[in-house]
Amino acid sequence: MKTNPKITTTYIFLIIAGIILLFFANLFIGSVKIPFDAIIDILLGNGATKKSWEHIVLEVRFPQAVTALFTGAGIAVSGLLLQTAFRNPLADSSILGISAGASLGVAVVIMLFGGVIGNSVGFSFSASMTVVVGAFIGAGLILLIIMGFASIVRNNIMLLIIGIMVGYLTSSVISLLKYWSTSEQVFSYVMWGMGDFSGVSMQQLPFFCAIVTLGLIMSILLIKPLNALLLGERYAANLGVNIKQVRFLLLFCAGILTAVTTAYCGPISFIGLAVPHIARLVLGTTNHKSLLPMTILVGTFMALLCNLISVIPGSAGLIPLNAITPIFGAPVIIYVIVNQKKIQYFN
Amino acid sequence: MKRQSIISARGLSIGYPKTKGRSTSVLYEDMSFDLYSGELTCLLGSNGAGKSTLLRTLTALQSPLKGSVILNGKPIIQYSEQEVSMLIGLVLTDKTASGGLTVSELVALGRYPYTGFFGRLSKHDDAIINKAMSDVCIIHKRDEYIAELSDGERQKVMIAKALAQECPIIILDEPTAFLDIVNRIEITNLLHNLAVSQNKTILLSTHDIELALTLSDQLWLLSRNKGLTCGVTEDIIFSDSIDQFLGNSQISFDKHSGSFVTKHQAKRDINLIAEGELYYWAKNFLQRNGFSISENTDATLSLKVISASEIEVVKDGSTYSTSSFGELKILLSQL
Repeated sequence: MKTNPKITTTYIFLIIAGIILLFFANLFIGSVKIPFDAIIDILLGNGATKKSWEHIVLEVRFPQAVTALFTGAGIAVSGLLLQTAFRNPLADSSILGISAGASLGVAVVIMLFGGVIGNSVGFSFSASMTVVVGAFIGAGLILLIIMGFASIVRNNIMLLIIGIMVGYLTSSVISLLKYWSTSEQVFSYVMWGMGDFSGVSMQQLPFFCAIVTLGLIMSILLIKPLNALLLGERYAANLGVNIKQVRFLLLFCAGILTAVTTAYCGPISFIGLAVPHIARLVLGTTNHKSLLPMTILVGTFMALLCNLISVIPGSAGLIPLNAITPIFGAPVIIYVIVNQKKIQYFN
Repeated sequence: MKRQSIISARGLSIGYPKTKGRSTSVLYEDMSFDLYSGELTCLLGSNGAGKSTLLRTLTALQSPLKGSVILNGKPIIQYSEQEVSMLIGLVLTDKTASGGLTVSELVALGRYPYTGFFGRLSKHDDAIINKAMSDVCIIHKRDEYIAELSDGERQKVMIAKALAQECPIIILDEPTAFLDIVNRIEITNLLHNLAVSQNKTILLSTHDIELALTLSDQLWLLSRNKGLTCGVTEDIIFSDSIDQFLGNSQISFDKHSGSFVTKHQAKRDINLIAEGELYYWAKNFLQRNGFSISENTDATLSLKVISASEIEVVKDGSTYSTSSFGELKILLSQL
């Protein structure tokens, strides 16, 4: 499983080219058919024959593509951080119950306080903030519980199972909330839970991108201790890593990325779990200096690809994202588990 | 001349502090020891004696219950994490998730305390990393992944990491535990050479008594009943401490061979005539089969080993010849 630096450079070039291609494909292809030239004109700022086309491309497709770009990077990185922090290749925010925590926060905001998400009418900045704060508090709460267990339970597999259990408990609370809510509220929540990248409007986009960028920058600042953590906590401590502090920062960073993306796009499965593995398999290395940027690239690529697939039915509507991500994610995880003896980062 | 010790302790108590549902558990009280630079010290003790607890206390990963470990004249707990990381390098038995790093990337982690925020390596760092890899003879594998290395090579890489840390002290927790005999000797030899040539203070815990006796300058013996005793290897051997600290009713330390032997319930005396390795293995054979070697030439039974295929047994004046130890075993059981 040796990788040659030249091949790696080629891969990186291909992925970046793919991201650019997919980004434009996301602008050109959608549920409404708009002629190619018209879109070019709109993008060049020449206006369009139909005002609605301009609105669709600039106010709907563009923010959706940008959201996919940032969300893909954000959840993939949060998965990588959790996998390294827990030294478990199967950790990610949905398996550890953090997404469920964010969902609970969102459910409380929607169903108890009647908040709204997405492009719904009257969705103000403060309302969107309430949902984000709700998601973040929910995610943070579960993170604290998992961190608490992490200090008692040394075995990572056991910790993962505890995460799954905490996730179930959270889901049961959500079920209760659903039971007591009106059908509109439940519908709103269920739609949110299917995941889509259209939840961020042009007005919210700068705020959304700023928070995700902040999380990504923070993760890049953690590259050095992440590498030391590969040796285990005792070795890392001997190298001068302040374990408690680094652990907190890692989980905080993963928590922010999960919370903000989950609040706007719903709990998107498998990208956080599978993308770090794809990045490791492509690179061959677990050195976060190259692994983290690669994870950002692959995450972005996957999210744009899934978003493109979600508009395939054309005018018939959108396929929910969470129906698409497992098609890519699950085979990767199965491949990794079946071949773990041959994959060096397991050994 | 009084040597200056680099790590020392007087009246140190180690163990685990009181927690909810458990009272203080004191492992050892009033321990005193010194570690000197340029020497290899081996810590010996049976399973559960508390070797790891002692090493953890020494490396500030755990606080002592009483007293303090003095490192370069200052209590170790007063050093910052980064200062300790530049003074004490650790090699553990922990399983790492480093299979996806190359040898040089892992050794470069040893520069962690010295590099800046992003861990960028200077030319000076690169030179130290290369030297560390050549010191442990692993530089030819510098670009290979850890996953592709043998256990012995991995241990060398971890030692190189500790060297790259540029610590005057290196502490190793059972560095030879999972290795075969050739690798055990190689690693222990390597550590001894490093202590001498680079004036490092090296402390390692091990179960490998024979190797420890051959190569270590100082021995630390740890036993739950007797506490800790320290001294130059040969002084420890002649004080009969090894037997008292590590032996039990069935196993005793044999000063002739430098190893532990089973105490045999000898039934018959035998006089053995052989030389060199033949004597050693014939004695081994006889002891295992319930004989005790007697110096008395008048013994009723006498064994003469001329070569491995010429063995004579004399009993009551009559001589029996055999051509192998296998035949000898049958013969002795009939006599």
